[in-house]
Amino acid sequence: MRNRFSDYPAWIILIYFLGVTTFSILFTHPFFVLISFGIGILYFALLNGIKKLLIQIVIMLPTVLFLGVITPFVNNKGVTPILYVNSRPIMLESVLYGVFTGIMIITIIVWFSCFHKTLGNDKFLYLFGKRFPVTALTVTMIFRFIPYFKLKLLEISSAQRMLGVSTSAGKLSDRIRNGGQILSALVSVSLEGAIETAGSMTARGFGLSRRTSYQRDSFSYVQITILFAAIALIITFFIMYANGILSFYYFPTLAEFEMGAIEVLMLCLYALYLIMPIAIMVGNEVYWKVKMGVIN
Amino acid sequence: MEGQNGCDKLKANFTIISFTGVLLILAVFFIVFERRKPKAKEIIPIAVMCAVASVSRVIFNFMPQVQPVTVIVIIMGACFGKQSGFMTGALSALVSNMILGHGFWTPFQMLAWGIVGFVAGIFADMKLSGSMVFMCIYAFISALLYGLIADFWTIAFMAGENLTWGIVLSVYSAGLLFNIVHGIGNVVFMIVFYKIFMEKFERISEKYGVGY
Repeated sequence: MRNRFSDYPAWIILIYFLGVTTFSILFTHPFFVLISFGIGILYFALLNGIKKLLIQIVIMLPTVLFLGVITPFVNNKGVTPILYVNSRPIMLESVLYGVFTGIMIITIIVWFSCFHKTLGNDKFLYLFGKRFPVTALTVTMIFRFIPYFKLKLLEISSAQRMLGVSTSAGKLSDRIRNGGQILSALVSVSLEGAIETAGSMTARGFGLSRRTSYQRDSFSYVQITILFAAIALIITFFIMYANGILSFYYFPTLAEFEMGAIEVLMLCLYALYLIMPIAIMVGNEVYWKVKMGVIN
Repeated sequence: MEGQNGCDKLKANFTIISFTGVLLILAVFFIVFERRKPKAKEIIPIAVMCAVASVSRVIFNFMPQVQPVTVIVIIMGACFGKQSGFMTGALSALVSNMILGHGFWTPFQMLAWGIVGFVAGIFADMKLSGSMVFMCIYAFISALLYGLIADFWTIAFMAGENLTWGIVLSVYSAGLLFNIVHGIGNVVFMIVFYKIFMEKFERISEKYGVGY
């Protein structure tokens, strides 16, 4: 399935993901953490496939376990001991706190990865290019230089290999020295070349006036609706948070969190907010299928 | 009263505060750089060295975990000044995360490498960068400096709403071994690169008049 959300204007994507990460940090109630985790994982799987998701989980699982194990030792503020290690009590609250902090970190990492997939590097540069034109230009140049230098590096290292200079065999100290020699050649060649580029840029009027970045962002009605819905939900969550309605704490005892009508409603709204990109993907797919059905 | 409590909690969320704080510090550095309207001659070395730093990982991939990025950032700061050092460090981190994937750590790494380059520039202003021994010492310390700032994101995360010394100490002690290995790698690279790079940069700036 194509990630239709990435076709959206860069600002909408940025605002949306800022909201997701902020609330994933602020809402520490286990239900809210788990729902953000679940939907994040689902979105990640839709974008990257199941196989990558499994790899990611194997990489990240130790984080949760580590935090679950280490937190009780660092932080023993709870009141319900479940275990004694060297006559030191391990508190249930601390274990839970550690595990949920771990899940929260993974949630954020997963959402950031989705953000990276959705807001491509071109849109990223477009967003910041207006405010930081020189920086954006520098980053663009770096991206161009990297493949070019890799090519140059290949030429240099094959030439040096003929002279017996190589990093693939020999003593470690020799390999480091040889690496230094290759790098030195690379720096010379690329700096010289780049100074020429700088001269040519100045000759063509670099820095004389503002550059424009060509990226047309046209808003469709659906996109505007999504934007307003996202902003409305963000404001609602903030008001709720500021009023302490969604606050949850682990110490000294777990907060008594009643799932009243408001809390359930908030949970649903939160789920609705998080599921938006997936809904857009699925919605577009269904729309496409229906239209294709009409044609056929 | 309820609202008052909520506001206190909003202020106390350490994760959000430190993340926003780091972004603001970065923004200040970048805005100062942009305001100066740098010339093409100034930004080209930065772009070249960021790309070289990223490509150099390919050359030295026979030693995993050890990369010459920090040393390249230090030498840039020492040769081309504070701001170039900062930009090289910050942009190297930004670009490598654009390739590897962004995360909460991106701004922290940008700031950490940026500060390492910036401090190298300050030492150059104090005419300390001429001494090889001093640069090697700084190369080692800069690894700890890098760890101090870059590992902060873990603390910011674990602390949530209650920051304790226990968390700070446990995170930093967990990272200490990595940072020391990083530091030793830096010293080795500094010994190998220092003269080569200094001569090259001086030659370039004499030939073309690059730099401050």
